[in-house]
Amino acid sequence: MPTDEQLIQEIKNGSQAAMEVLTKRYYKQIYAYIYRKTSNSHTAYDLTQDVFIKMIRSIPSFASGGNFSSWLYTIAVNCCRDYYRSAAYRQTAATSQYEEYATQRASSEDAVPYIFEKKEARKQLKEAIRQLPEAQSEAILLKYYHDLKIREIADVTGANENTIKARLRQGLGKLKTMLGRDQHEQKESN
Amino acid sequence: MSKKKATSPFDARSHDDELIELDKEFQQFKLEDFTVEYPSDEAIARTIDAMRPYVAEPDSKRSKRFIPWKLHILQIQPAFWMANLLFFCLGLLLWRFWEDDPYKIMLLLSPVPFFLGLLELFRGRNEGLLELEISCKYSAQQLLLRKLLAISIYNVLLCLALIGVFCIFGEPLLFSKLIIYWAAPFVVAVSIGLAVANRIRNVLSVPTALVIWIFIAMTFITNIERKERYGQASELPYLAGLAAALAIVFIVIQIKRLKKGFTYYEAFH
Repeated sequence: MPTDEQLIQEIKNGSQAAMEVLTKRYYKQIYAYIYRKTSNSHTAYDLTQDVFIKMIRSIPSFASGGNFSSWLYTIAVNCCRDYYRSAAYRQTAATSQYEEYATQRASSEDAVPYIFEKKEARKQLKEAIRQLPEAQSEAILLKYYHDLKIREIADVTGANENTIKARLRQGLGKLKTMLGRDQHEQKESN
Repeated sequence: MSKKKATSPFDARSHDDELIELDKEFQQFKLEDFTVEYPSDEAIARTIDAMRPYVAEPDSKRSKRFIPWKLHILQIQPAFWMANLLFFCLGLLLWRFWEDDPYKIMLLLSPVPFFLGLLELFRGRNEGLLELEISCKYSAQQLLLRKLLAISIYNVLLCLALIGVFCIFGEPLLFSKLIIYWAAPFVVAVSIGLAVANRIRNVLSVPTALVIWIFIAMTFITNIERKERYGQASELPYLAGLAAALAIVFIVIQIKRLKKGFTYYEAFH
């Protein structure tokens, strides 16, 4: 199996096929990060495409011997940050707020499906991670879903290791509170 | 957000302990529950297509076009070439020693090399390793098309050689009969082979396609003989031409479909 470095060299030489192999190798990891970060499959698809286009445009400047995976995650993290600062995000957030309002309204009319939906562990985790500040959710997703070490997360996010530890500590504390509260609510509703 | 920072080694240690403690507690929340809905292979392919214009142009030395005689690149096993030569010899033997009808020989044997070629397509995909290395130079789809092209050219060359031998050492073959017994059935057989390969997508498609072909060919021979016996054979070349045209359209569709889902290298989860 060709290494990342071999594939990058082939891409620099103009190989479409090597680009295809390298993209397929990392596509799902990057998509999963962005999906968990944005909680929206359409946004995740579009942002993943942006990440890979940025990757291919910048690949001539990628230094040989560098860690490609960390470099790609850095692009993904920056892409998500840009998205949260963008007008597109504000529009989506407004729609989500409306949808949330509509869901809550529907739930007051018909409480049973709402409680049932609330019970879903996936939804709880998704919602809890979504509510975290951006820097904390970044650190948590990279550590627990992508197995990056604290040193690597620091490289990817451009922060120092102590800051990453602090973000993880604060983020985990908040998640513990939020998920613990949800579990408590579940027990009460049962 | 808390602004508290570690100010001494003791503080740093206590914060690390706190992180480890939280880490352990966090494990109880089933992280794997946050599953991801991945896009389809077609959607990933669209992203790859969107990236293509950004890949640098290959330099002139590397942009040499694929030369058909560089057959070693396709990794087709020598057994494939040999097996098909044996079929060619079998055709000659049937004709020479058993004085079988050359048209029927052409009808039954001509698509066999193509079917065996399908075996080569899937063998390459299943073994994958060498092809994977090659796929840095050529994509899976390029290799698929080139293999199909090489196999088809070899198949047609063998058929033409057989026709040549029949004409030189026997009675000349009629062009209209060649269309009925060879050209049209050959194109139909190729379309059947590709359709079966699309459905089964592994080496089992080869025996399946062969069985289907033998059944169709035998039915075809029986019907043609009956029509010839009752003098209804005049419209046969036109029907054969029509069937060949339809089969060619069908082949193009099947190749497009086969290309779509054909990969040596799956996207990683």
